[in-house]
Amino acid sequence: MEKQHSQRYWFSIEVVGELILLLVAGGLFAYLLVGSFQWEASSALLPRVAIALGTPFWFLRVIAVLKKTRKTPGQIMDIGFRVGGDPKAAGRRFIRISTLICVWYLTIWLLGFHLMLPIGMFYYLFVYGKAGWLWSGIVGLAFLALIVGLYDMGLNAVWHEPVILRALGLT
Amino acid sequence: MIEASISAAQHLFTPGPMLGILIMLPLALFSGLMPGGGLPITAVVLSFAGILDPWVSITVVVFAMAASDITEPVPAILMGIPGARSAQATILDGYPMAQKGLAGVALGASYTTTLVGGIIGAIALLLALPVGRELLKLFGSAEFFLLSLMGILAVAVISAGALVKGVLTGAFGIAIAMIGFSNLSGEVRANFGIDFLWEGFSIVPIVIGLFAIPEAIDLVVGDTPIAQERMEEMLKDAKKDVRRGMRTAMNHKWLMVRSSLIGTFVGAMPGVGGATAHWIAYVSAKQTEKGAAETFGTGDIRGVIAADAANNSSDGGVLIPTVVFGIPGSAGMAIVMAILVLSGIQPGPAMLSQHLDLTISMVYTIALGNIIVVPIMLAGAPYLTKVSAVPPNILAPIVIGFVTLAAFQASSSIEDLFVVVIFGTLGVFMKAYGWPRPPILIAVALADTLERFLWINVNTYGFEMFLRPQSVILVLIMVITVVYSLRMQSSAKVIASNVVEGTQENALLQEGPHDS
Repeated sequence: MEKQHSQRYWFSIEVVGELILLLVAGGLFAYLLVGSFQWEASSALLPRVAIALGTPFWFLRVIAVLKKTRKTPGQIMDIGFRVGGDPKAAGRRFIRISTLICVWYLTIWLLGFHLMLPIGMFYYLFVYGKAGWLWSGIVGLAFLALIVGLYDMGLNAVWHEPVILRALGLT
Repeated sequence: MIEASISAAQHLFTPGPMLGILIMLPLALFSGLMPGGGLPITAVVLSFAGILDPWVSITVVVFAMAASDITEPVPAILMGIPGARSAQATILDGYPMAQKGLAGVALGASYTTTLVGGIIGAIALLLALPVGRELLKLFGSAEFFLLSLMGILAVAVISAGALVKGVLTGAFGIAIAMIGFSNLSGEVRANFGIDFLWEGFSIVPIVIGLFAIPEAIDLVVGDTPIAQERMEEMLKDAKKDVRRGMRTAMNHKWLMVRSSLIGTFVGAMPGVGGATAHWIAYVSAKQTEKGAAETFGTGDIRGVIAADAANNSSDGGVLIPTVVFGIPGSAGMAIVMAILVLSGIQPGPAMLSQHLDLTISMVYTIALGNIIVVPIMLAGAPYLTKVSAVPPNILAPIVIGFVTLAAFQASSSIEDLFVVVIFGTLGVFMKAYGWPRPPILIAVALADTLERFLWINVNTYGFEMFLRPQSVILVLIMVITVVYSLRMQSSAKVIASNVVEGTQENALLQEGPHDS
């Protein structure tokens, strides 16, 4: 029973999530270290100092995470996410908003800011914000006005060529 | 110093910075009032740092921070959720007051103490500048290297509240900053074979990914809807009550001054900031004010006064390490520092020599922020506070829309949106697992200086650079600061949990025995 509990804990989001974070940090240290042998001394020095500083603490943290038996206390500057009384609902909201941000950015890349920023805004406000079509439309159009008025006319912004519009020869 | 003070006023009170303040005012009010705080809006200002005059961008961002701090207690008092980390203690007495129909009194007291606290913090910053100037004359390039390196590590350790995680994050931040072009050798490092990374990561998408996106996600995840009718009920007699709150606050002037001084002192410690300061002031008031041990946590106005005075005075405090040593005391200050770097101004010693007038203008801006925003909040509290009741699912896409445009605008590069996604994911993980995010931003902002000083020192002194008396003293001071800050934080955590427990007991006693 005890063993089962500890196995379950090992695969908990608390452990796996932080291990992913550690993997990213450790991976970057390793990548820099390997690369630094090909760089000139001046540009290899600080990366090596960072690696020398970070690596012992990286191992200590990996051990601490694997041995973790209780939740880490909240931090002063970073208090973590406010989960509230229903963690499952909070989890669903987290997945929804994260996915929507990624999809929104992807569609901006494909179809451009002028089209997808107002449309994405309208969609979110209408579907999830329950703001009604009028207010959602007004905010969407306000963003279009901001893009055209401030960025196009005021700042002469240079926009990327949206992938789909370019493929269709519309840019 | 006097010349610089006059020059600061001459630059500040010109159309550019004033127009910036005018544009920022509604945005800062709006972002400060919404649950989640005003950090994303400062990230938007960052995207304009490259094209704006530093006098405008710095004025606007410091003004936004000062204004947000004034409005942040509103969600804490009305909804019982902290607008930012530095309004947590305000909830303990502010929210029970609102539940008793005294929201207006609590808000009136909060704005008054905020005004006094903000001005005391600004004066403290002004007084600290000449001392810092003299101190920095003793430093050479070895000390500046140590200061930058230990600054990153100290902020990391203190903000993580733990040595291991802190040093690891500091080193991780430096490693991220090492991606791309090296100014020393002119070669491209660790760009993962991606041409876009030849120049490394731009600071704007990093800030937006690490800070703004996780905060917007947090807004939706911690969805705390509040009924509009309930808000209106709470603010029914607010206009009259706000004046009563102001008078009550003035009756506790020594508490205001004492809490403001605590806020300034604690805020000046690198990496600590208002989040700890307001707890320490709250507990100090609980221990010293008559009868407070029984009444704090049940809606005692003195609890609101102590917490908010310390919170706002810490603004002046956190600017001290940022401008004097280039070590930001909070995430907001890390953004101020990034704006300085993007404007071609190196934070630290230069801020007290070549750019002393700009530094002094920050003092004026904090004071100006308080002088402008507090009356607006006092007059318009019943209407403005309705922003706090806007559902997170309406606020979040608007915030994301603004920061997305900002991320792209800074470099006009679509790849920066992918950088936002990468750092947004990293920021979400770091926030969830309590890894401090400011050290990454500081490392990216200071990387060039750090690398240049390291190379100069290795060639000039070798390892003897660590044996110079100034270096040894500096390292000792930094170690003592870290140890002291960690101890203070750990006692603040204990205090906070004890206070919350005591608050619940006090509230139960006030409610009287329940039949079961």
